[in-house]
Amino acid sequence: MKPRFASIMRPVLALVAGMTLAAAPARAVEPAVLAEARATAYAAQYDSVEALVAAHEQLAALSAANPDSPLLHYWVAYSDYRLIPRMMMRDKKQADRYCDDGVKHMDQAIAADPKNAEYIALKSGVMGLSIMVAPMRGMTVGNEIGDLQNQARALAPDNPRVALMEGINTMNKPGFVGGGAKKALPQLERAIALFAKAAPSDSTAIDWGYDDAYTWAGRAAAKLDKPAEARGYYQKALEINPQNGWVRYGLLPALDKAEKKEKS
Amino acid sequence: MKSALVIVAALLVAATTAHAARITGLVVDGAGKPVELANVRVAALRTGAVTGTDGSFSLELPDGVFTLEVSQLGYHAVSLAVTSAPGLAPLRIVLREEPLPVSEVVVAASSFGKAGKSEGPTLRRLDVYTTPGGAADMLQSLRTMPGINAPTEGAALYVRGGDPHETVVRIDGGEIGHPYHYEGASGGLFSTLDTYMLKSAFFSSGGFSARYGGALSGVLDVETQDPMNIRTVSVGANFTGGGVSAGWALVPDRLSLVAAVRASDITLLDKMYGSSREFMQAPRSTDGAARLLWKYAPTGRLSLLYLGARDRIAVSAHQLNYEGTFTSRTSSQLGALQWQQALGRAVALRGHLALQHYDSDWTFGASAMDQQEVRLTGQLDATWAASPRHEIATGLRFARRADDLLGTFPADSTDLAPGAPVRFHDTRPRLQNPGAYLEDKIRLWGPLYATLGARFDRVSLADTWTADPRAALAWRVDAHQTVRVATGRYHQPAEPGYLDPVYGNPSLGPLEADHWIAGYEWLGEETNVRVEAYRKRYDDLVTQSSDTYYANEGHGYARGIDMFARTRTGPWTGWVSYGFLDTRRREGDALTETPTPYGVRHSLTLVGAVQLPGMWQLGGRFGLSSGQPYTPVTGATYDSTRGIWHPVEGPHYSATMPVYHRFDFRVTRLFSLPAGLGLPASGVSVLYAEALNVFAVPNVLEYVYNEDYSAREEVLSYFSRRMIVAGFALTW
Repeated sequence: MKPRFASIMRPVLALVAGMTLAAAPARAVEPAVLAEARATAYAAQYDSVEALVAAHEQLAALSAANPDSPLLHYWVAYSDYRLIPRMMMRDKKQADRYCDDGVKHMDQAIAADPKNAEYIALKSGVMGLSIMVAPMRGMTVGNEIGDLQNQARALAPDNPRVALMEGINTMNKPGFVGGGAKKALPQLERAIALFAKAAPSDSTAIDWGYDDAYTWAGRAAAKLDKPAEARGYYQKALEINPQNGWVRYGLLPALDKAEKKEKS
Repeated sequence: MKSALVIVAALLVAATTAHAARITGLVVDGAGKPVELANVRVAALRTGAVTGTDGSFSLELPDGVFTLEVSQLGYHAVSLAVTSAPGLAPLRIVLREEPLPVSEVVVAASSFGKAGKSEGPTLRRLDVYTTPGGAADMLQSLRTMPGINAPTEGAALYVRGGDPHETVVRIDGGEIGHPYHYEGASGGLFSTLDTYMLKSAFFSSGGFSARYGGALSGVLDVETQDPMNIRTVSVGANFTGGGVSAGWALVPDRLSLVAAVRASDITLLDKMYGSSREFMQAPRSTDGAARLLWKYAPTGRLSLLYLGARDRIAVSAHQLNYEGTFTSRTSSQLGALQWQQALGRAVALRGHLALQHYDSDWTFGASAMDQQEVRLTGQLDATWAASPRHEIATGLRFARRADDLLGTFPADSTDLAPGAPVRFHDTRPRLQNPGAYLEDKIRLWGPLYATLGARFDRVSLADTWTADPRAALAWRVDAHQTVRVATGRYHQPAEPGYLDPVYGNPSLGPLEADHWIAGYEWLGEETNVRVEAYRKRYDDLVTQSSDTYYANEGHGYARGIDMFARTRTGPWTGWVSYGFLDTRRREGDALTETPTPYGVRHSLTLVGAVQLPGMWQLGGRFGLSSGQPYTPVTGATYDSTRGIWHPVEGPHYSATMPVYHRFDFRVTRLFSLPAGLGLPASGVSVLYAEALNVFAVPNVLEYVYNEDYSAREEVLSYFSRRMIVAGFALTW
């Protein structure tokens, strides 16, 4: 009986050992590595698509070397978040892959730290972009995005990025399901107020989004036919982040063009 | 680094100079198309480049031998050694596309429901609410999908020629034998589960996985809502009833409750539009559902669902030689405990334990029945994602069913009048049906995926074991096209009514069906098209027997084609679903294979909706099905001893009812109420008006005869006149 019992128990013990190892505390990642990751993600965010792809590759390599770090998964997903809208113009299939990649990394981050509102909010943001890539998906992931944003809000009601994601989601949602610029603008203004109150951060903390809040508020104002307000928001976005290429080379010139057309 | 196919088009020419050399090349995919934005990296030098739109790259490297790493999301990465030297010929590097992991691929044919991103038609709460003519009912909306024949306006699921009993319905894992309100011999009118409770549903009309047992034709697996931190309250009403529902976080991120109660009564509708039926007591139903969800750990949760439903009806009815009142009272309760736990990153456990109690009493002339049914089911499943190309699932199922069927039935099936000779029926079968399965979902090679499985079940009364092998194969031709084939054997215990030890056969074995399915699907961003051909062979169906009352001597077949196309263009969405069915069976008292009452040859559903500015939506649904087969009465003989006429019936189901068709139109307005009266601003709320049977088509449900069967009358369906139903749902 003994050898038979041992042969039965061996895989069970291996499974238990595996589970124990899986439950072991994650090895801490050096703050310098986290700071490097954040710097890489921020440096490329308004750069060329090529630079964004290269940054994504670097961040993915860092994350692969430290798979237990939720923050490194976050920065990979953040680079996905920046890359997807740019990639959409060139290759939708590839943009879709970056959506999958972002969701996959955020799932891993959330599995490691389920109560982190930043992670949940960014996942909702990436999923929101996946609807832009494939609009039919709105029917299937729309509810899940709403659930994620409710979760994030319950965990951190005053987190400015949670408010920002909510505003962006409202802006992108069709009117018949409660979306639109009119409803989004107050949410984005609230996000701006929360950013203004946010405490200064260290070199590893997540602190992006202040200029995004002004950018999206500007977009909402422009959609509501308030060009002067939109211009004000865009200018504030550029004051906060002069590198914001979307505002400098995309949204402001578009506003100028629209105003010229109106005058003529 | 994963292995990869690398073609270096030119030999690397070594040269020895002290200067940096320019390495150039082209990155292409397996089809030779340039791969844009691929990373080309030399990790040792911390340098790299990104390919341009034509897939080309260029790098300055010092002399020497280096490892070049080439990667792009969605492709296998490649690494190759290059010797940097002036005059080096351009490199040609082929990146092979990574196939989808098995978890993302729907291998099973004839199924719809969420599975990764590769999903076909789906049914979610919003779909149910917005389907025109669906009365916001889950089962009614489901009938617009492929694989379901819809011969009348009932909610019963006639799956590819199968009787509704051949489809197992599960709610949060628990099997529910009677999911309908106003259930008759072939299903009911609408679902007992409030649509508010619905999260999503998986439905399969054949070829389904080995994890489902005890069903011959189809599976409907419903998951109820599980929001954790949402607080919403919703109230709604229309001309036929109203309800309240709520989702409430009791302990944030730990404990939440979702609940819904509703009641319906058609008295108002009858007063407004009159009725073709004479109700002694208008149909009235109530139901309620609640789910308590406890997230006890980030990787585990436990939920408890309760579903209770009641209905009653008293209506004048005419059958053969008797016209009188049919009365019915029904109650149904289901409790389901569900558990989910992830172990590490690769193993998921899921289990449930459910108890259903169903009680039904009805009387009609000389017939009366009191039916009590208790079902206890438990299942434990384990899924191990061994690798992105391999997923193994196994599970155990236990099912116990206890039925008490007490009643009186006419001794002569053609004499239903009170005072006619009757026989008493007292059947109390107890059936145990334990089983186990093992299934392997695997990527065989390249874009070829397979599911291979088998299940083993025991039917206790017949003391029989069954073995059901099942297999499905999916070939992902490209990102949009998939070809699927599936086959499998399916068993289901005989209905308890046949198992009476005196007037039945308790040793009846399980019924058997073999499925073969082949299908093609095109899934684009805005469009989904699928075509499937199928064949089912039935064996061991229940027939009448002169020796044992009933025997497993029946057989039959069902074959056909299902087609489905859904698209969206700007504000327009719509779909068309068509099913062709050819089916015959030998069962009951038939001596040969004959048509069946649920064998409707053509079923067509067209649904269209348009989104208008100002949050208005218009939608329409047109349903058409060729007539339901019935057995005609060809004459009558007079029984002078009893003074009654006996009908002479023609061949079984040899006649068909007229074509059934109906068009419904719906106007929906979404809105939000501003804050006021101490209430906050509302969430998305709905106001709707629905015109049912816009063209007032008189659809025939059945025929009734006069005393000597010389003349017949049509019995029209309840919705054989134009009706407008309006309602609202407010949500905070």
